[in-house]
Amino acid sequence: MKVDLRVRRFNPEKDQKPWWGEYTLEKVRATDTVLDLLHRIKWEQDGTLTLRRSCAHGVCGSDALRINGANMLACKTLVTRLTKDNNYARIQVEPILGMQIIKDLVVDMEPFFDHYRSVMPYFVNDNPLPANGRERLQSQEDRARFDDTTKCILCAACTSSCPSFWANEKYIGPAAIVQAHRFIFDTRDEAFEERLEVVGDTFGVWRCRTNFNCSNACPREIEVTRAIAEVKMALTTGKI
Amino acid sequence: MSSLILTIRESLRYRGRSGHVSWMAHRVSGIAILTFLVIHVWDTANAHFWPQAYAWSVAFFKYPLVAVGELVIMAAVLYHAFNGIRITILDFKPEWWMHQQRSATIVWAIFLVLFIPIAIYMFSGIVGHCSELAAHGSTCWQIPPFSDFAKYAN
Repeated sequence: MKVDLRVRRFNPEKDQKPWWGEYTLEKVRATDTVLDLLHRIKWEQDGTLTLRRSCAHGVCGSDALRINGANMLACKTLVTRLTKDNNYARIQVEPILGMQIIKDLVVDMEPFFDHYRSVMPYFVNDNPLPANGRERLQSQEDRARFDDTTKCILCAACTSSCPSFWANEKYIGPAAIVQAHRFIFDTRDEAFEERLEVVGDTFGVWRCRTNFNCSNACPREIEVTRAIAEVKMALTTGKI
Repeated sequence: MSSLILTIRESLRYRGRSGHVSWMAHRVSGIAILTFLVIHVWDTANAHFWPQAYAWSVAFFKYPLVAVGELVIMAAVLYHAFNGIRITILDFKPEWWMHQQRSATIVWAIFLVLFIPIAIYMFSGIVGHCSELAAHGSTCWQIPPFSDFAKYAN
């Protein structure tokens, strides 16, 4: 298969503004991922292309990119998913939106992680351990309440697909709310009031406009908008 | 990084699904309704303070292009209302999230079913008004001179 790739390029040391790099790749297999194609460009055509990736298997969350207009993980997106033609594909790759571009496809994730840290994404319980010294037990039903939101890999595909985040980067964003949900709905955790205060703030969950881009963008298929709505309900009713 | 222009441009460029399209339609219809409200308040204030200027406004609203604008407002109000109910239900019933795509389609269907007959009725009103004026040798394609409004408003 032949693939024409348009890649958004930007080197802050040389370029005034971002530009499109055009590359053609031959002998692409339908089962190649977009990350494979970016590797081929970097290794065979232009070594200056800069991208971030680590595990290349959809676990580390390093390579969230805007592919053909929508956020996806480059390592989980097969070429065959982007074309109906068996012999040709045209693919466009851009960095995710709402964050400063460091170079080419690499963005500054630090503001994203600041929002993540703001919801206290760790277990809080200062009570003594059970008498047997083992783990704090929980029923299967209680565990199931936050099972979905434990799957987040912090790739930022959801947050950077959210128009509310594009409009105001102070909005903590879907990923941070998903992390807050994971602990707010954990019956063993005792810091839900502090977390609800953070997510109930002016730049918290009420900035969500329920447009479902985050749920569609999540490579782990987390029901992000549902989690946000559950946090909204917890704030409204005071019930966990 | 964020700005109004970036948000508008990227909202149009982002290839979201039905939820994103509904969100954009909700925003556009919201702006249309807000614009209408501002004009409506100004116009109604005229009725109280400068009745003759209000009469000028009424004549202006009968100009065919402005009357078509009223049709657009009708569309905006209908869509905004039903999509607003949809969003509220999804916010209050998080467990129904899997129905969001279907609910967006249902909202568009309800909107079209209600709007099409209303649009035909309103449009026939515009045509009727123009035909009546034409029968009397006049035309509806003439905007009442703004100087009239300024005169009455003073």
